[in-house]
Amino acid sequence: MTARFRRDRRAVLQGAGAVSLGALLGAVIPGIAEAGLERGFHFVRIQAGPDGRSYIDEFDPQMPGETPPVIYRAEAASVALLTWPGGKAFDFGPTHGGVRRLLVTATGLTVTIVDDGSTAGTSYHPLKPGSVMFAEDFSGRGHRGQVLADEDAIVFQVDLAG
Amino acid sequence: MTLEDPATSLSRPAPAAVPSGFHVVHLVTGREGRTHIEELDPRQASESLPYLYRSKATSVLVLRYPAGREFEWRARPGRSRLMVQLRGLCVLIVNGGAEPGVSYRPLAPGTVLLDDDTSGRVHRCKVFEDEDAYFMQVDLATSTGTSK
Repeated sequence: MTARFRRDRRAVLQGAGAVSLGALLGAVIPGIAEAGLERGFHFVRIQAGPDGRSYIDEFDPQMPGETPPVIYRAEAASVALLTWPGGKAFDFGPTHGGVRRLLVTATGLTVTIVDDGSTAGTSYHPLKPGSVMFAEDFSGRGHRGQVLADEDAIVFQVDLAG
Repeated sequence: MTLEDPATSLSRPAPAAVPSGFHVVHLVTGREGRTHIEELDPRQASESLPYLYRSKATSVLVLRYPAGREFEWRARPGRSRLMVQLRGLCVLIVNGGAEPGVSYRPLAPGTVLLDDDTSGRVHRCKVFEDEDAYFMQVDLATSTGTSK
């Protein structure tokens, strides 16, 4: 946990009433809008661009030709259940190992941040329980992450095969 | 929980009966051949079910079940799987449960269902009207061999 985040988070948590996700994110990324952040289930993907930056976008995982109820299918190598303590911060880096990785948030709040050269210099994506992130940025600067609030984040990590 | 006729009498569970947050439901075959549903403390699961925490896998699927529909939940002998509920509210209806008859369990986002049922029975799952239900299914490389 960075000293700045610890200080800012304390300031947020000392506020009256319930702490919203927007307020928690604001402690990490000043000036963000709260609207639209209170979301759970959705799919996002991080990919590396030819400029060495990583980019986040939402996408529909529906694969053509799959028979309901299946909408997405891939070969997998392993699955792990990870616990990240509240406040834990991850430095910038690409997805390890050169294999695509699914991260499914079971509990807790996290934010993924990429240095994509957007107007503010960075883009971020909050992940709540039910969020699924496909990490596919194998090169370049990569992305970083932060666990928000004091609650631990529990995340399923599925490494895909090949 | 036991129902005489879940197909006709099953109604939306009371809010207090709907699980919230991360929890682990274990579907397992008893020595008598019946299917049991267990609620697991995740801390306990880390010791007794280490494969929940790291395991070789063969495939991952994302499944979408339409709101208001009922579908088959087919046991897969010899192969365990891990289901993470992403969205929607369902009730799992287990045939041949702990007691002769039927058992059921509400499922909600945050539910992790560890399916070690090797009975070969076909269970059912009902999705309530509000919204489609989404699951991520991870097929594990081997059966965990867990039994009750």
